[in-house]
Order: sequence, then C-alpha cells, then structure tokens
Amino acid sequence: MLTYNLRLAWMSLRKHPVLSLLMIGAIGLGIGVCMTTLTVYTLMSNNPIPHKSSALYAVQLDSWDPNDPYTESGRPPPELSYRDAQALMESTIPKRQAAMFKSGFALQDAEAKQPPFTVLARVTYGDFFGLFEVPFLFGGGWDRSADRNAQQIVVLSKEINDKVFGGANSVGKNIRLDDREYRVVGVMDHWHPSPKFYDPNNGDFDDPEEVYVPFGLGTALELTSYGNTNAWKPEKINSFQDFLNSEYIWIQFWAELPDAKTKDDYQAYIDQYVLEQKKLGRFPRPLNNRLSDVMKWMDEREVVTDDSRVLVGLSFLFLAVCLLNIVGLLLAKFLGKSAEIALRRAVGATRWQIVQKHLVEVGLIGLLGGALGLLLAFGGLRGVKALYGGYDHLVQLDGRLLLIAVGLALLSSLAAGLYPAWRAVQLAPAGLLKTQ
Amino acid sequence: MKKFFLEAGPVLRALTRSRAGAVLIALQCAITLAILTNAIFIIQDRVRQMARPSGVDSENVFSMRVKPYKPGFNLANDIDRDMAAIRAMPGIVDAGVINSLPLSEGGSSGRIYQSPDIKPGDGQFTANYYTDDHSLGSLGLKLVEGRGFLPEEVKRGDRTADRGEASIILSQTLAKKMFPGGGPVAGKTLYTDDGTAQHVVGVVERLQAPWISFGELEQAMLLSQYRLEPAYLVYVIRSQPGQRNALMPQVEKKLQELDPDRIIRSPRTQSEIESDTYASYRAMAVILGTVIVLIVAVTSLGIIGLASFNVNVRRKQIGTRRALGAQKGDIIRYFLVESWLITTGGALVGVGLSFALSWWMVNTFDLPPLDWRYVPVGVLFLWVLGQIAVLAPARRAAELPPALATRSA
Amino acid sequence: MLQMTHISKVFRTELVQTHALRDFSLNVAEGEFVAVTGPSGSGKTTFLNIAGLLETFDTGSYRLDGQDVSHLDDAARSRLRNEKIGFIFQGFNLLPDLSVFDNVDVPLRYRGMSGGERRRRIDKALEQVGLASRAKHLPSQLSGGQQQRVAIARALAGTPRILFADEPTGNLDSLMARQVLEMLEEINAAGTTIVMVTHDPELARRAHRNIHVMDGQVTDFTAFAAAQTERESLAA
Ligand SMILES: Nc1ncnc2c1ncn2[C@@H]1O[C@H](COP(=O)(O)OP(=O)(O)OP(=O)(O)O)[C@@H](O)[C@H]1O
Ligand SMILES: [Mg+2]
Repeated sequence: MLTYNLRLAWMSLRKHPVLSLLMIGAIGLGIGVCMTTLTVYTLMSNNPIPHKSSALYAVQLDSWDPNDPYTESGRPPPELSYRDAQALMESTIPKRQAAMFKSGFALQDAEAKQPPFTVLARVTYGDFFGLFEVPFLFGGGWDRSADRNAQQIVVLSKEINDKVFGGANSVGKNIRLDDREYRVVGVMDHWHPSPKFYDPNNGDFDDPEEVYVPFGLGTALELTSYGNTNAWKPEKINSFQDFLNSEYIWIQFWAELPDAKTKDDYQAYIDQYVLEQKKLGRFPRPLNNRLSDVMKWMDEREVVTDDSRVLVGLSFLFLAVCLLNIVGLLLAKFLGKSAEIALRRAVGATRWQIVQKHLVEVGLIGLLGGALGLLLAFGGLRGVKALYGGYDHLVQLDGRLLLIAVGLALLSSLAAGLYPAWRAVQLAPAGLLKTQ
Repeated sequence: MKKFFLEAGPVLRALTRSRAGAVLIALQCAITLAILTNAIFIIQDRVRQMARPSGVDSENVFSMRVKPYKPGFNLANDIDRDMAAIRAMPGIVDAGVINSLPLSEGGSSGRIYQSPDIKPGDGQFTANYYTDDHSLGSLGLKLVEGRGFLPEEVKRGDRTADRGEASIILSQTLAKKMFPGGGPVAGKTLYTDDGTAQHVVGVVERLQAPWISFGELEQAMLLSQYRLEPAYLVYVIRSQPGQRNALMPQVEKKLQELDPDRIIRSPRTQSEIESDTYASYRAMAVILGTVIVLIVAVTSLGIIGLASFNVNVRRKQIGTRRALGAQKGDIIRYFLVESWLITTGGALVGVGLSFALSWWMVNTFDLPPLDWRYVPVGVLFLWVLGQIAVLAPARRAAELPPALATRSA
Repeated sequence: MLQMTHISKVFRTELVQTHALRDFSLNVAEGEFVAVTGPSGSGKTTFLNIAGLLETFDTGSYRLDGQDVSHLDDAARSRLRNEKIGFIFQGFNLLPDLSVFDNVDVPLRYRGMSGGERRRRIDKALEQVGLASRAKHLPSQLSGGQQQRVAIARALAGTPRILFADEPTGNLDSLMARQVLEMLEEINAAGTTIVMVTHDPELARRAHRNIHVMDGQVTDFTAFAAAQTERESLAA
C-alpha cells in the first residue's frame, strides 16, 4: 500500500509542478531557516564534556563589595583572588582541582634558529589534564612538586607540536618561551572543548591555549594574566607581592567532586574557609559561595546569546507561516480532487485509507522540502560563519542535526497535511453519482 | 474607491462561506506582521547602535602590539625610539601609546568621583585609557575644550605607575555627567577610586569605551600615565587620509628593523577593530533582513496561490457574471476587495501578535520594547502587499471569456 | 440479494426538506437484471446511492446479500463496497492521471491483494471488455464507449456480487449504448446481479424487470408487468 501511495503521490506532485515546487520551497525555506538558527543554538548550548560535566565545579567565593553585589542578581564573582586560590588548593576533598589563568609567550625552538611567534598559554596545576580529560599523544602532565618548584616544563598542544617538531614525539626536547628554556613533558592530542567552558574571559568559542606551564611559574616569572583583573576597592599596589596579596580577582578555579557527599563536604569546606577569613576582616558580604557544574556555569555565563534565542524563536514563527501557506495550498489541492476521492471511496477505500494516501503525499513533500532545507541550512551556516567570524567550530551540521532536520520536515509537513486530509475525507462519496 | 467598499459586503458574505483558505491566509498575514514589525525594529535598533561614532578617526588610525622576548629589555627607551622613528615617517600624522582602543573589547574601567570623600554608590562609571601626550593626534580625537596632555605631564613606570595623580581628558558625555551645572571644565579636579586627584585639562567631543556591552559606552577618559608592561600597551598610529593601508606594513617592518628581538603582533586598522566588534550586530541585522525578505515572499506567494485557486474554481461563476454584464474592472475589484478583507483580518490579529511577540522578547531577553509606530506602517505594507499579490490572478480572472458560462466546467 | 423495506431518506438544507425517498420497498433476487426508470428528481440516484452503501438512510431496513447493513460503520461499509459491489457511472469517473491498467487496479489496491493476483484479474477484466491492448493508455486517449468499458472492467475486476449502474449509457451514442448493454447482459448471464438506472425505455425493456420510481416511491407495477411480457415475446 505504501509503495502504491508513494507512486500516486509522486504522480500527483508531477501533475502540478508549480504547486509542488511552491510547497517544497516553502517547507525547504522554513526548515532551512530553522536549522540554521537551531544549529547555532544547539552548538552554543553544547555540553563540552558530557560524561563528566556534572562532576566538575567552578568554585566561586563572594569576596565582593559589601554595598554592591557582583551582579544585580546577587551572584558571586566568577574568579578568585590569588591568595584564596592558593588556600583552596590545600584542600584534600576534591578528587582533582586546579587554579589557572591565561597568559602568553614568545615561543622559539631551542636553538633560536627560527623567528619566535606568540602563543597563548595556560598557567595551571598538573591536575588540569586529568580534570578535563585532556587526551595525550606523548608524555603527560606534571605533579604538584612541579607546580611548587616552578619547574620550567611545558605541555604542547598538538598544533604547536606539529608546527615546531613536525608532529614527532618531542617529550624530553626543549623549546624557548620568552627566551627561557622549557622541557617538553607532554604533547596533547587534538582537544577542542566547545564552548570553551573553563575560562569566562575572552571568547566562549575560542581555541584552547597552545602551551601549558606549571602554576608556580606565574608568580616566579610574574606572568601577566590575559584575562580580566577586577577589584571592588582601591588598594595600594606597589609590588607584585602586593598584587598577590590583594583582593583582585583574576584566577579561575575548578574542582572535581564526583558525588553529592564530596560536594557537600567541599561546600562546607569553602564556607568554613570564608568564615575564618571573615575573622581577619575579609569577605564583608554575607556567606554566598557557590559551586556550579559545567552546564549551570555556562548558563550563568550566558554562553548562548540572546540574539541566538531570538532568532530561534523568530525562525519557528517563520516556519509556522510557511506551514500555514502549505496548509492553504494543500487544502486547495485536495479539495480540487474531490472527484477522485469520491471514486476511491465508492470502490471501497476507507476514510483512513484516503487520509493515508494524502499523508503519504504530504510526507513526500516534507521529505523533499527537508532535503532542500538541509541544502539551504548548509548555505545559511556558511553565511553565519562569514557574518560572525570566529564561529568556525560552531557552525557545522552533524548527524544528530541532520536527523532533526528530516524529522522536523516530516513532522511539520504531516501536521500541515492533517487538516486538509481530514477535510478531504469529509466529502460524501455519494456526490459522485450526480452527473457532473 | 466607493465602489471598492460597496463591494465589501457581498465579498465578506462569500468569504464566510468558504472560510478555511481565507483564515489560513489571514493567520499567515498576522504572523508575518508580527515578525515584520519586530524584526525591522531590532534591525533599526542595531543599525542605530552601529552608526554611533567611536570618536576615533577610524578610517586613518591603525595599531599594533610589540612583544619583546629577551629578558632585560628597556621598554621606556624602546618606546621613545620607536615613536620618534614612526613619527618621522612621511605620511604619518602622529603616533602614541595607549593601553587599549575604543571598541576593542579589552581595557580598563573604574569609577570617578567629584570629591575625595567617597561614598558607596557615588561617582560615574568610566573607561580608562592610559596614554601619552600624543593621544589626541594619534587617535584623531576632536578637542572641544582645554588642551591635550603636555609632555611633562606624562608619567610612566612599573605597576604602580598608572595609579597616581595625573592629568585627564574627559569625553563630553562624562564631562556633562560630572559637571551637570555646565561652565568650563578644564582646571577642575576629579578623584579616582582611592581618592587620588586627577586634573581635568580638556574635553573631547566623543570617546567611546572599549566594550559595546559597557553600560555607559560614551563615558571615557584619557589619563596622562601608563604602565610599562608590553601586555598593556598598544602603539596607535594615524596616517594622512588615504595612506593607512600602505603605511601599516611599512611601520611594521620599521619596528622589526629597529629591534629584531621582538614580535610585532596584531597590526589592525581601527575600522577593522570596530567592524569586528559589531560583527554580531551586523549578523543579527543581516539574518533578520533575510528572514523578512523570505517571509514577505512566502506570504505573497500564499496570497497569489489562494487567489489563483479561487479564480480556477470560480471560472464558471466568473464567466456567468461576465455574461450577465459585469465588466473586467468589476471582476478585478472583487478580488482586490477580497484580498483587502483578508489582509485586514490578518492585520487585526497581527497587531496584537506584534505586541505579544515584543512583550515576550522584552521579558525574556534584554531587548527594548517595540516602538508602536512600526505597527501601522507594517499594516499599511501588508495591505499594499495583498493588493499587489492578488493583481495578477485577478487580471487573469478578468480575461476569462463570458462564454464559459454556457460550457460545463 | 437486495431487500429494502420502508426506506425513507430526507435531505435537509437550510431552507427546504426534500423527501427523496419515502416508504421505498424493493427486493432484487440474486442474478436479476433490474432497470430503474422514473422522472428526473424522483429519487433514482438516491436509491442507488443507498443501495450501493454510498449514503445512509433515515428509516426502514436494508439487507444486502443477507446482511443487515443499517448499522455498519464507515469502514465496514467501505469493505462491503469493495468486495461485493461494483459501480458504473454515467460520467465514467475514470481517474484521468492513471493509465487504463491503473484505473482498473484502484479497487483491488484496497483489498490487499498480491501483485500477481491483481495483475491476473486486471488482465482478465480488460480482456472481457476487449481492451487488453489499451492497458497503457490514458483515459483521455480513449473514446467515450471505450472509457465506459474501462469503467466496467474496473467494476468486474473485483468480481462483485451486485453491480449498480447510474445511466451508464447516458453519455454515449446509441451504438455504443447497445454495446455497453450487451456487455452488462453478458456479465449478468455469468451470475452478477445488476441494478441499472436509465432514461432509455428501449434499454429498460431489455432488463428482466422494470421498476418505476415516482416521488421517492416504487409505483408502477404495470410497467413492470408490461416489460416482463415484452421481454418474453422478444425471447420467443
Ligand atoms: N445532497 C442532497 N441535498 C439535498 N437534496 C438532495 C440531495 N441529493 C438529492 N436531493 C434531492 O432529492 C431528490 C431526488 O434526487 P435524485 O438525485 O435521487 O433524483 P434522480 O431521480 O436521480 O433524478 P435525475 O433523473 O435527474 O438524475 C431531488 O429532489 C433532489 O433535489
Ligand atoms: Mg440521477
């Protein structure tokens, strides 16, 4: 029956090519626009580390102004001061934890033969790699002693290792960062969490950093943070040590808390820490420390832009217009075929069989429209890429989105076809016997 | 025109009998109106924001960063040497250093107060540009009062260097906020966070902050002091009109020649910086514009499609009318009136829908509420669209021969 | 085969009520060939619609092939139409986009037959009406008489127990009409009951029995008797 209906549907589409193209075009446009905006939206709201996102927590302490909360909604600041980050690193509760900030170097080969180039660096603890499950091609990270002793060692991204060492195993070899020698201890495999959730500074869809060095170097070399440095009260800063001791916030802090109990323990721990600091005259605000897992964190950081949401909303309204259009055209078409419907009913087709026949036709239109919509979405995404710049990893259609597109096309076309098909079978079969 | 409305009664009665198609088109018109008004409103809002001048002579200004990588460099000496060399190049108007550029999405901000006795909630937000005595010339800012910085006012040094007492130049917007009474501003004293005095020496017509999301985009000031830290410094250079693109690589090359032990990075024109910063605004406008074009096309085709269908099913009826003496104009008018009634019905619902959509967006997102004037304009557009779309099928109907009446359909 | 007792049917529109059938009773035995005549508007088509399960009736009872059909739902009525009833219309009612073959195929498709069985039946039916060579043609490529023969093949392919024809020759010239009638007689001779509405007294005379409908009622039994004797004399 399905093949029969499909054949009839195909003939019917061919019979009225303009009408068919109009309907396919309308579905295609609706799906194309929806898929374009939806793709951007779903990739923005993507979970960058799915199997672990609920165990990773961004740590926030409310060290802010007693008279003026960090955000109007009363959220604590997203980053920590250096002294608090140092203190929290002493805890043994998290399975893994890392304080970190972004910086940069001029990178050169060990013999200084090639001209140097700038690289972005993450200054962090050795736990970083385990915390975020960074894949390694060669070697690995470092341990706590490297952080404490500010060892001049480095982990390279795959891209940098390709560029400097032609992709060879460079573990044990040296490179120069800002004219100092560093020994390579690990080379990462391709790693591109999107969104780049672990650092609230700069672009949410930026590439990860290109080199990784121990946190101890940050103070030893007085490295500059490339992110924001914020303060709520004036402080006299006359030296780097003054800066480290200040209330300035500029450090990101992540902890891995595998279960609810660990999380509760850790929450109690940071609250206790802040209560003790209050005795020293710090933390003037009421207790307001937060642990946000990855998805909650990205929600608070508003990684998904309002524009993207508005566009999804409007594009579904647009799809609705396209569908209304199709409902009208289908209604005209089906009612125009009342003679055929009456005849089929007379020779024994049930109402349901007639509805089926029409839904198959509509479904075919939906599939063709869906295919057209996918093509348009490809074009649309290219356009979005060109318009925004820097969304390169963001705008690509994957299998899941392909399925969504086809499903959406089928579903919406069937929804559009339901009313016309129902109207079509309401025609009494008896009408046929009247001479026309 | 009178005839047009006289016809409305019978057409309306006919419409209520075969309503499904008409209701569908009317609904389509309603949603179209809602999208149209809101999208155009957002577009014009974005265009208006993009059109605000940054105050910088964007067409002729470019900038680059310098990263020395051999320990032991003397940044102060390097800057003086580099600046002298750049300023001496033909075609260069001026060059200076600054910590960040308007609309570059990175920089420094703080509050500024009228008195050193700071109370919570006092003062005004401002973007802080730490710079030298060439800032007005290198950025191409327009002075409206006072003067630029004098060489002897400029202070520089390590991390404490940008926190002392200095001279400042305010944007006009900031000046008006700090001194609402008016009168001369140069010579007055203001205070930064820790109560440090800052002496106003001038006011520029316009100077935007580095971030478009900054609440007070037009509030900014220049300070005659900067920190000698490569990560916090940008060389900003202004060329004679039309020479920017040629000079940018030359300056880059010159700087590299002056000292090969450093990296010259991110050479960019100010227009590029501003355009990149507004990329998402432009993208929103372009995408919404595309959606508008598409939706108008789809809706017009819908109206054309329904009218064509109606012409087809009414062939015999139209032929009979013609046989009974109706003129071509009467037939065309019938369809025009029908379309007008449908679009009007759609518009009635659409007006409500427009405000509902706006209400949703205002409440869910940080968008301004719809300006009501867009709605009547949208309705007018819908009417015109309906009339134009139906014209071709109506003409075709008018051309049907009266003889159709005698033939069986 | 067909037993209608005291059937009535009223059409209600906003303005008027039309008693299309009132107290309409009729029996048709298996294998009979019945012609229905009557003036325009007398209710012939309404009778045929009800008999063919295309329309419901208001009161009375109707048994078709021994089965009471008054309370069947739409799906059951559709199935009965498909399996037991064949229709031939004045306007042929072929689907213009389908070939002759596919037109005959339409009722079989709703019976869930295998492809081979359908093909066999279609070929046989087309052969019966003498159009086997035209299977691939579109209806528009055939003459009116040929089109009506396709319609007959379509009705035959499903091997119905009873065939309803509403002025099957109304759109044909007398030669074609005669051909079609002969075909119906053959079908009837093979065992299929036929009920035919016609305005043509000559055709009506060739049926076993004539029913005259007037004002929604079966009236004229004399006509029936006359037709009966005439037929006998013709046969003699
Ligand atoms: N769907 C309907 N709605 C209202 N009235 C109807 C309907 N169908 C038939 N009628 C009325 O019922 C009566 C019988 O109609 P019917 O079609 O059965 O006549 P007929 O005997 O077949 O006439 P003709 O020989 O002209 O075909 C007529 O008065 C007609 O107006
Ligand atoms: Mg009739």
